[in-house]
Amino acid sequence: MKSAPFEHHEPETVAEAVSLLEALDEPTILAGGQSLVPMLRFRLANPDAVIDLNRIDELDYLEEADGMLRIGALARHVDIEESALIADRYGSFADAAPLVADPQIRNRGTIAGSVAQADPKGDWASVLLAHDGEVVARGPDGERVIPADEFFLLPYDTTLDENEMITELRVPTPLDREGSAYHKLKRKTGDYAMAGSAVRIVLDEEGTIETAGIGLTAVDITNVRATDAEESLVGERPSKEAFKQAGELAAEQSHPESDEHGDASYKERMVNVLTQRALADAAERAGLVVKRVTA
Amino acid sequence: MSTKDITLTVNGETHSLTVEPRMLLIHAIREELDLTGSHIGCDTGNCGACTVVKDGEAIKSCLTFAVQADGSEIETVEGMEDHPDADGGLHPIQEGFEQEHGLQCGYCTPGMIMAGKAILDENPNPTEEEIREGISGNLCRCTGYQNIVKSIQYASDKLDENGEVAAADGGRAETDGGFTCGVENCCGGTGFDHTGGDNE
Amino acid sequence: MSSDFTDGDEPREFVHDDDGGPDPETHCGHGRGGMGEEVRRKEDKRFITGRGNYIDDIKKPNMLFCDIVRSPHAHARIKNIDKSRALDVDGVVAVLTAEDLLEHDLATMPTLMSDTQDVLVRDKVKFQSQEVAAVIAEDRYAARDGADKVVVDYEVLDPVVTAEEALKDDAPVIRDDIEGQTDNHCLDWETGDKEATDAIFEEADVTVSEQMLYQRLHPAPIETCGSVADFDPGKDKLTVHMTSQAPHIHRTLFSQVSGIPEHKIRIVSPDVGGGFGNKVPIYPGYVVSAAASYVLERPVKWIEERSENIQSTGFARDYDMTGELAATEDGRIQAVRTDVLADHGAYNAVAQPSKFPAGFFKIFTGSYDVDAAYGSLTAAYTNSAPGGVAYRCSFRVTEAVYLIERMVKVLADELDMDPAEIRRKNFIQPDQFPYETPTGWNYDSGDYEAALDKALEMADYEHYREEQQRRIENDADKLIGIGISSFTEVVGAGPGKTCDIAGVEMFDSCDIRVHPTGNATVRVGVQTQGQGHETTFAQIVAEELGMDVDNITVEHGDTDTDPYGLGTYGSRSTPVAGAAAAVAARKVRDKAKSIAANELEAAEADIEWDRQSGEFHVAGAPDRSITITDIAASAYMNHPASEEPGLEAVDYYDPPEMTYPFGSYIVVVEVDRETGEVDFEKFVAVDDCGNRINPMIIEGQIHGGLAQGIGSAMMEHVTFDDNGNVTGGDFMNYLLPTAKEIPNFETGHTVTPSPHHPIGAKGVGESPLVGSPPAIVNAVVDAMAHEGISHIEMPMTPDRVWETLDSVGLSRDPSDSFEIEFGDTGAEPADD
Ligand SMILES: Cc1cc2nc3c(=O)[nH]c(=O)nc-3n(C[C@H](O)[C@H](O)[C@H](O)COP(=O)(O)OP(=O)(O)OC[C@H]3O[C@@H](n4cnc5c(N)ncnc54)[C@H](O)[C@@H]3O)c2cc1C
Ligand code: FES
Ligand code: FES
Repeated sequence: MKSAPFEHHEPETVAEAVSLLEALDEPTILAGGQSLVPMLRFRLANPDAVIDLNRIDELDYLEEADGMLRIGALARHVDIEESALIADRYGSFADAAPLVADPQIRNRGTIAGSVAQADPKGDWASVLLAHDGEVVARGPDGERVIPADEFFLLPYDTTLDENEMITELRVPTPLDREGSAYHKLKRKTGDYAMAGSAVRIVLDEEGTIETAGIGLTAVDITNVRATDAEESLVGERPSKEAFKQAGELAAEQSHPESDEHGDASYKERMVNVLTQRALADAAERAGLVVKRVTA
Repeated sequence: MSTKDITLTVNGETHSLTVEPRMLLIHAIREELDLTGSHIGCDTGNCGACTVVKDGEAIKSCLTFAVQADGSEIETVEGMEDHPDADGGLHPIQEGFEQEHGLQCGYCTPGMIMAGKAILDENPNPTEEEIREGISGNLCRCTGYQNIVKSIQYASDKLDENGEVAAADGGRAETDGGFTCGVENCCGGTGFDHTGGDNE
Repeated sequence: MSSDFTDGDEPREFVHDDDGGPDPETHCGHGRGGMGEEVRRKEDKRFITGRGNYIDDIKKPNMLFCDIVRSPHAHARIKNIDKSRALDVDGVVAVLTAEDLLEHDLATMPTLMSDTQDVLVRDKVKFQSQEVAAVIAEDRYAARDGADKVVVDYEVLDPVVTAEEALKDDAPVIRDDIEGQTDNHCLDWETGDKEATDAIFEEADVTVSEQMLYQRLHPAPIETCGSVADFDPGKDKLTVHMTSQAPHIHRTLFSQVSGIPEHKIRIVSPDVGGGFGNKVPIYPGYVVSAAASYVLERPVKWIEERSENIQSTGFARDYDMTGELAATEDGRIQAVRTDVLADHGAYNAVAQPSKFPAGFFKIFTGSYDVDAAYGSLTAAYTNSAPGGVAYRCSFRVTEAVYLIERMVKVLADELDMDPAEIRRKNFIQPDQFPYETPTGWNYDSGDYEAALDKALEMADYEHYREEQQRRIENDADKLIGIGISSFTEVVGAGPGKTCDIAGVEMFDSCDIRVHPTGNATVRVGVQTQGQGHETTFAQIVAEELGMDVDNITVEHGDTDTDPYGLGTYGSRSTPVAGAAAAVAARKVRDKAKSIAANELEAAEADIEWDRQSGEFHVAGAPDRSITITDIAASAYMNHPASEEPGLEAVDYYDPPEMTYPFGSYIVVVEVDRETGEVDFEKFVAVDDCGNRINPMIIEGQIHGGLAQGIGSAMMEHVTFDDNGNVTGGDFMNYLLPTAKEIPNFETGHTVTPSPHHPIGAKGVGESPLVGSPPAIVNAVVDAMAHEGISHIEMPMTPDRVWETLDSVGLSRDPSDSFEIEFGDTGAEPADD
């Protein structure tokens, strides 16, 4: 498949990009291109102009600052995958990165692009939701911080304005006794999720769950939070019973669709399974001893 | 119809091209530069037949426009014999495919070879698991992958041997950074450092 | 035709050691790349250096590009096609529709089953993605721009999506273009003895029955189809480079379609990036590019996109089968009965010998000595792409093997017998060969138990049986399942009298020319798509002429220079063209003997040929010898008066019979009770393909086929929605396994030569894809058999497996698999 013709713009600063966004007629932003290029090739998107962010060096970072993990709009999946910082402190991110697509795509695709794409099957949005993350957007009126909770509207549709771009994603740096994890069920390597669950829990000194975040992949029209499950966990001590209940509540709150790769009831069930598995990993990473009973 | 002038350095040779922005990098390489080793096997970015190494990283050249590669260094299978590791003959990865029967129809092979190169550039001694992960973006319908894995292992062993010989000769050791092939972040030269990943 | 295929030599077992090269301990392989040696492939160099020449690599001066406008609807009448806007697009040269083709009598083309398919839709679209118009432009982007601007006005009709629906009384008739066709019924077929079979079933101690769908698959070679057509008005000659597994038969068909005389057509199959049956049929794209080149007098290239490939070209399988076995209480199988509902898509375009409308499906009694069998089949037209190609398969043998090997497992479970034991009990015994099956096949040779025993040993069968039991007793989170398949294959079609493609008998050919300096060019009528013909055929000739394999070049794929052959599919290259190569080489050898006699001044009857040294010598005087190199020189420089000069021969080999490779595969899986995911613990494949030409290449073929078997069993499926839209029509949705889904395979072999084949070889390419899916399904079923599960449909996606687990109470909650501890006090979380 071949794209329709378009103009290619390569701003070198965010300011330049924002003014192009304003000046051009319905331009499309190009980051890693790993979702956009296929859409252009299939002519599902036919923009007159493409604003390519790849030369904006100021967007290429992944760092902790001011109590936040900050992910610049040009940070690629591979950057997360290979970061020692992530490996040490952000279990869910470290889990998710190698599960996204395949090595070549991870070399190019960006976390921000994935979030902007707002494909409910995308993995990063769930992680962002579980961590109470935020989307930092820049437009003609300056910067705006959108809580992840308010970002996703419909498949491929977000609250980002037409002339706004994402500059950064961020989540709070981990607290003591925090643990997070991501589990994903896919049909084969490199495939999108049939279902996925990102969880983050924070324990208080007694070992009681103080904060819980759960984001689900591929089981609703957007990535969603499993709020009932989160509420059920808060105030509980991590236990198989508590996790089981949370898994069940998360499944109840999901609305997957049946398709050739699984009917809705199975996917709901998997939300339960994946959520429990992720909670067990998160508990371990929060410092608890989790004994696995396998035979 | 708008066009853009771009410069691509492919296998060490610099080319100036005028292309439509919509032209995929794979088409520029195959059609404009006549380097038909890299192939196209799908329209969704799944098969990896189009894998090339761009600025030291394996990418799918069907998921990038040629204009995006302006100014970059690209390696394709056609450059492998000129690589210093090839020592005037086949590159050890190519040799591995031949010795271990890592190909049948050969269509996926150039992409596999480039994916293999990216694996070994980053990790000269990968485990079988790491090799399988490293080529998981490349589909092969003929071989069942087992011999492709062996081919890359063969190259890893061979490069090790060569490295040892070279080191003993006072030549370059694998990681001393004394050698670069001219491509940034390639050949163990400057290392593989992304965006503050290890700034702890 | 085929002359002396009894060489005087007994068929030998070729042994090799694993490091390549002949085993010095044994007599085999003469050390110069003959039979049994692991010669590195001659074709590899160009592929590993990027110098392959695949269809899209071909560039011609002044070349145009063709893009095809396809129907978004599965069933629709075309009311109007407006090309005007497309013609206005920059770079567009022409837009072709059926009307334009009609002017040149190119509007339809025959399918391999002699149905008539529209090249471009004349009136009614019969499947989604069917070819409606073609845009010819200066480059591929412009062609696509033009295709986007062709406006087609459709009247959408109700689609018929499944074979079952198709056969309902009120179903819309898809093929109203066929005179007298008033329903969607395509054909009926039966085989065996119904009465005898029914009688056994009535009396039998035990009968079992299972319904199973062999789902619609696509061969999906990584290279799609394509062509470059170049009509030369000066010579009135049409040259078509195309992705063809069968260039000669394609030339004949092209000539029939176009009316261009056959000697004015040249088909070249360049390097082909995998075929697997996908590139056997003729597709409209080829014809359109040829027509466009003819009309525009410029070369025209057509390259298919992946989604076009999966959505519109030959699918495979789609057999909905019921299998039944009748057996004695102690597990002797007495009769097999089966009934099939086949979906043929919109045209009857199955790729099968024309006298076999259900292909070789009637081999469904498999490796077992049964008293009677009966099979029946009904095929229907549906609004889906035509197909039924032999995906790495001899014409439905894959479906047949799946049926019988699945049913044997069902019976074993019913009788509570070990599946290895029940097979042993029913195998056709070595002394029963040649063995005639109840459906009329004549198996050449076999030793099924030897292959099974070897596989059981390699798989550590007893150990896994114990482990399986242990897991059940411990209520473990992962179950073990062990699956066996002991298949018998039928490959190597001809013979020509029973097997033909579009009327042409299925022989094959080889032409050997030994040059004055002692090297040789070998041309064959088959066409490689990765099977390594350039090496294996050279090895056969090297063996039979005592030459060095490096001195032999094999050519193929060009109808102007190669002898006529029927092409490569159904594992027929080695059995048929391989035989032709051996026989042609022996013809050359006969002549060489006469030259040797002349040179050595001895009587021809006194000349002996030594296989090991490759030299000809006078009987009783080994010193008086001459090499093939010297003989070649003499053939041109000092030829005997009794012979013509030169040293060459051609053989057209019509096999007397098919060959019957077999094997036993054992698969051990681990099934995750929480998610239904399946992991491969062990995968053992013991194959017997008779004498082995190049063990390395054979092993490679086995690996590849097994991976495809895993794809078939676990994830591949061309799916449709209720409107007949393909929902599994690209690599995002038609899933091929990656290196991470494929385990390491352990391969082994036994050698039972084919008694009627000149070098005792049987062919191997398709065995692993034929034999492995039932072993895999049997393994997954086996993991749950203790709870009464008898079948799971392919592809065994996690959801299907989990639903099955859940249906018998075997699914499991993760909370049963972990325990959280709060340190010693039970209150404090362990400190980080
Ligand atoms: C074969 C394949 C498999 C894949 N598998 C997975 C998977 O398993 N899991 C998964 O999560 N993803 C998967 N992806 C998608 C991949 O992760 C993409 O990288 C990601 O979705 C998009 O990131 P990108 O940087 O490539 O964005 P692009 O493709 O460049 O852009 C995607 C969209 O986001 C917009 N956009 C990009 N950046 C910004 C910005 N800064 N501000 C505003 N808008 C922006 C673009 O306009 C476009 O609409 C897969 C893709 C492919 C081709
Ligand atoms: S052609 Fe690039 S991934 Fe398939
Ligand atoms: S060798 Fe044919 S696709 Fe890999």
